[in-house]
Amino acid sequence: MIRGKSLLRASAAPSPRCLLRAYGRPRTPCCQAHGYRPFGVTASLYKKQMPPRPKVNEDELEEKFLKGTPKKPIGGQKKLILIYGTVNKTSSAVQLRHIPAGIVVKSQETRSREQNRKIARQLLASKLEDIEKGDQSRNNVLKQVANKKKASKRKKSLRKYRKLDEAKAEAAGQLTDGSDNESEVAGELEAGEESDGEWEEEEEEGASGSAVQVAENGPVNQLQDAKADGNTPSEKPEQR
Amino acid sequence: MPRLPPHLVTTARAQHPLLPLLLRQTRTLPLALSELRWLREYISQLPNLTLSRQHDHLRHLCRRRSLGAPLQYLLKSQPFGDVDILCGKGALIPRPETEETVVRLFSLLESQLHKNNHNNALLPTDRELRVLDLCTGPGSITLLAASNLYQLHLPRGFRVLGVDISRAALTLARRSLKYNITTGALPPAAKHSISFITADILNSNTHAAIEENFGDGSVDIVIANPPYVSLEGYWKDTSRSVRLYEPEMALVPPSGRDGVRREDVFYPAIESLSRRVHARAVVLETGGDEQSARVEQLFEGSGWRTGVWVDFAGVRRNVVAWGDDSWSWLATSSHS
Repeated sequence: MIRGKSLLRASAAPSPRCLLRAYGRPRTPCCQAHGYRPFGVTASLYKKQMPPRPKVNEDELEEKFLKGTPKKPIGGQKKLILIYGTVNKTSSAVQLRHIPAGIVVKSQETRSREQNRKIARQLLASKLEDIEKGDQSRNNVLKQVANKKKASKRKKSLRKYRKLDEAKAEAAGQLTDGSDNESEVAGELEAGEESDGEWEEEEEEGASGSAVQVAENGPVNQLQDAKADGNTPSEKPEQR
Repeated sequence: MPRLPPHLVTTARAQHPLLPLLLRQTRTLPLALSELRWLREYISQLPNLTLSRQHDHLRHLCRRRSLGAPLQYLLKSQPFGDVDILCGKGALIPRPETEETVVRLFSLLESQLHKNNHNNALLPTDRELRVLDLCTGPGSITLLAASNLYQLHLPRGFRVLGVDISRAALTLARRSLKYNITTGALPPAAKHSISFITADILNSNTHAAIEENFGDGSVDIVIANPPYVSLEGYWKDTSRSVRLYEPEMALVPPSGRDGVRREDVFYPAIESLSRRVHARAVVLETGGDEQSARVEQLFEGSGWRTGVWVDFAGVRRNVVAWGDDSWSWLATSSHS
């Protein structure tokens, strides 16, 4: 709201649509309507916080660095691994064991042992959290978010094709044939709106859920309402 | 070396036609798969290669690997703690044991500084903290030490000096420094806090060269990973790949002298140099239990207090020595 108002003062000739949005319920910031996007390096505030990355207690860990092939001393021969530099092993695998839970994880992801140590700890921590918290663990929450996004994408595409179908049907003058199809899709859409909730993230205008309805017919309705009521926001554009 | 079982080669070939080549060196399938993945990652980030060119290049690299070329030479670098060390002919590939030593030293130092809230006798008051890395080779210890020291945010800063006799290795070290600045592993200011000089530690000109770089010629921490493999050990224990590709100079000292074993030649030289630069702590890498015992004895004989660190393979790998009691925490061996 504040951003919208300040922009109202700053810009010489804002479009009526933008003005209305400033006073109404702006779904997109005004700057986007003006054709530029906000740029910032700070994380967006509206984004819902994900559960923090789990950590493991270092005291409960047993760490092992695996060597490529275990070298067994044969017939009095000195252990090969003892003398540094005599072999150049490329294995940087790290194996972690959580002693209380008895879980073992291994990482040979990167060539850096230090990196693998971190990766193994993360792996172990998320495994432990999965066991401890079940559905509430970070892993599962992230999965749920991904599923929601997928569902929202599907809704978008359904809407798009419904519109296309409608346009086609209109063009062909066969509105009656398409009515069955339409209601089916609409039903699915509404069902999706209800499930849209906690972990929904900021999306483009007309992206998903209940906000879409406002965005689709909001400006037009508001414009009409404003004209009828004759209140301040609608008068300003008329003064020009 | 035992023959590879044919079923292993068959399973490998079924997974990727180039895997049997890698198996010749790695001997195990999981490691071969990892190496193949790293080679493919490396090739995919090379610029201007068409798909067929990429595949040709991958086959070429796998062939070279099958003949014993170190993976680090093919990929041209080796991760070493937070930094990447460029690898190539003329310099030893940094080993995980060394990485562990450096990481351990600076994590110990960090915990000490935190414990004493930065106002203690550990840090010099009138100048920056000075670290001397003898026999630096490709600059691995120097660069990792610098990256760790940056994270400590020392009030008066620090300087690290790498010394080596090999010009080829130092060329690589300087390139590594530039490379790590471009990747962001080290800040651009690292150019001024890290330097490399060519000097022969077994000759007495080293101290003058150090004085040129470090005003009064005094140093706080000396780290060294000198050549310490005996000649018999070199021919008996080293793998063929190491003998073929890595410089012998970096592994075997030039020659024994007056009663000192050939593999131990560098340690007395490092000890006397450390005393001359008034080092407060010395961290050395050795070939293992027996050599560690000999080096410990040598340092104790010259009035240092010493300790030994055990590495991840359970080998007594490092000898640490310190002059005054404010550095006695170096002996802590609480590492997992």
